[in-house]
Amino acid sequence: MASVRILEGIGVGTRAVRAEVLRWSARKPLPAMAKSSLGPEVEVNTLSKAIANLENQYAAKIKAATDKDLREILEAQSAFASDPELADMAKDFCVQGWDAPSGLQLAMGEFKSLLEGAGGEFGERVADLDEIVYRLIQWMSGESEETILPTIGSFIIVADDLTPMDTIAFTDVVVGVVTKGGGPTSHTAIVCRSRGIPAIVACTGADELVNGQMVVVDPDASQAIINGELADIDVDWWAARTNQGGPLIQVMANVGSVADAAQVKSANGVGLLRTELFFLNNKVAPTRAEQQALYADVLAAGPDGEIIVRTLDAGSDKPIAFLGIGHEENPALGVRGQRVAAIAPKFYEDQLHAIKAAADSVKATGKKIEVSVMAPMIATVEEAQVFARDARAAGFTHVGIMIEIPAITRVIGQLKGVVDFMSIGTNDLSQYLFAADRVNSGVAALLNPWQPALLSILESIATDSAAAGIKVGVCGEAASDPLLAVVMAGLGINSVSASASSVAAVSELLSRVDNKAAKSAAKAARGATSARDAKSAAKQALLDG
Amino acid sequence: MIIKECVITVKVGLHARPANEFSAIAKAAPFEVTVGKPGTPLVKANSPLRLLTLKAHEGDTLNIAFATDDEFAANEVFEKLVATITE
Repeated sequence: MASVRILEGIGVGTRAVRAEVLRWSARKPLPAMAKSSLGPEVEVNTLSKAIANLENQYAAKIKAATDKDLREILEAQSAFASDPELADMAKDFCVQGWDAPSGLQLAMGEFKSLLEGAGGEFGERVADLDEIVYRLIQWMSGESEETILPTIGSFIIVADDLTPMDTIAFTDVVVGVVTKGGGPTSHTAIVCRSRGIPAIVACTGADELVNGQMVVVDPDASQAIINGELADIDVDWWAARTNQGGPLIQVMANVGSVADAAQVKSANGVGLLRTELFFLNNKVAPTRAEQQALYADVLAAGPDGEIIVRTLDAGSDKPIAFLGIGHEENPALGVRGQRVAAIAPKFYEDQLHAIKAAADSVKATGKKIEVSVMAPMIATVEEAQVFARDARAAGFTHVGIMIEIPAITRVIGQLKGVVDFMSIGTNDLSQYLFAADRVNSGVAALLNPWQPALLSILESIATDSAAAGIKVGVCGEAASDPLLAVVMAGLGINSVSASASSVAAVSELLSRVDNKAAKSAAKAARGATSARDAKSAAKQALLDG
Repeated sequence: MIIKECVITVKVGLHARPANEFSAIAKAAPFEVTVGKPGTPLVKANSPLRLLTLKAHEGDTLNIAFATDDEFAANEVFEKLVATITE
């Protein structure tokens, strides 16, 4: 039997696939710089035709693109290709005697040099400029525009990296992707996620993969397995466990819009109703009546039961124009979440009253909901006291806070009698615990919710909350991972709130464990020294017991 | 020449969709529009590549110059431009 080799990367998607490797042909190097032998008139003409042709190619692809993210990427590239500044500059080089490919490279080189060292989103655009140069020169040299895919079979496409133009050419024969470059937010990852193609990006060992080799792409484990078998990563590994008749702990849903709310109508309550998404496009503050109408719509559309509404979590990656937060060097550490109340006191007060009025009006229609409020980004007991006082003054009897700043986790005992419940936001908690920016793909591995330090702090929060008699749930992305939800139950967490698309899967696995099994999974995960080991140890514990 | 100032509040800054819309509006204007950060040379606003090289982020101030004396016409274009880079 062929030997099995595991290549690590970053997984995109959840479904594992197995197929044969097809290496996406490496691009030919660009032609060397050359002076024209045909004269400037011919070169300028070639250049204009190439640009017109590429514009047509983009127009056709934009029209055919059904995915919004992909369409925006293509539109941006198309706009660069038809930029008159580029054409004019390239033509000037042709007039100076260069051939069309050289003139183009020299012109684009000037734009690229202006972007060098820009880093981040601006630096990443250099790849778009390279793509345009490559496509134009390919046309000038008369080569076919697409790599030819087989029409029959199933293939895992392997490449150093892929451009949107590459991925758009994928047909149904492409069942998986492995790239050496890229990250969780790169073009390849975005397109694969939206098209449902499992992928491993940032896979440094991708060079080892050769055509014809059978490989398993397991995004859940972030691995490409040479000569692997799908049976080894059976997604229904827990199916043999007996269904206990209901989830071990309460499974609620995260909701941010009326559409979300309608989708989770059968969930056991809403553990996180985000309110900031309603206002991201508002240039002026909504009135109290406008807010009340928005909240009433979403409450009416959603499930019955306990509904936890989070007050405005604006700032940082969720800027809201009318609040006047202004420019901050480190917005993740700046005026955001509950801290905004101090600079926008009217909105803060309006919101609490609008939520209460909306809850009362929807209850009056006969809908069985119990609405409570919680504040995001609470760092101190004093902040919690202020929020609880204001929320109770607005008429709420059930008041909570988010646990997402490490500082508050050290003083949970002092929250006794101050708040009625707490909800852990694992995304921000990880960001602050690991000093790792949530929107920087370079530090993505630190934000893996299976990190032992995160599990340790979850356990400590659960223990302290139980001692203080305060209910604690988890509403971060981590609670959407069914196995991790089981571990949370074992650590002493009282409820989880998962994304709308994950509620069913989380409920399913939580219905197939008892307290003893969840505790043994939690214990196994807590004993691990890496995120990967924690996850596999938890799974093994459930398989064993 | 009329010069106006605004602050970018879109999260992505002046590239991708905002830059495309911005350059399209500048292109359609009946006079030349140039743009730059304070203290740096202005570039042609109808060029998405030039806009990209400004490396203008959320929170940055932009000066936008309109090659016209018609205050009303300049303002009309300015408001459309501002809408593409503010939320």
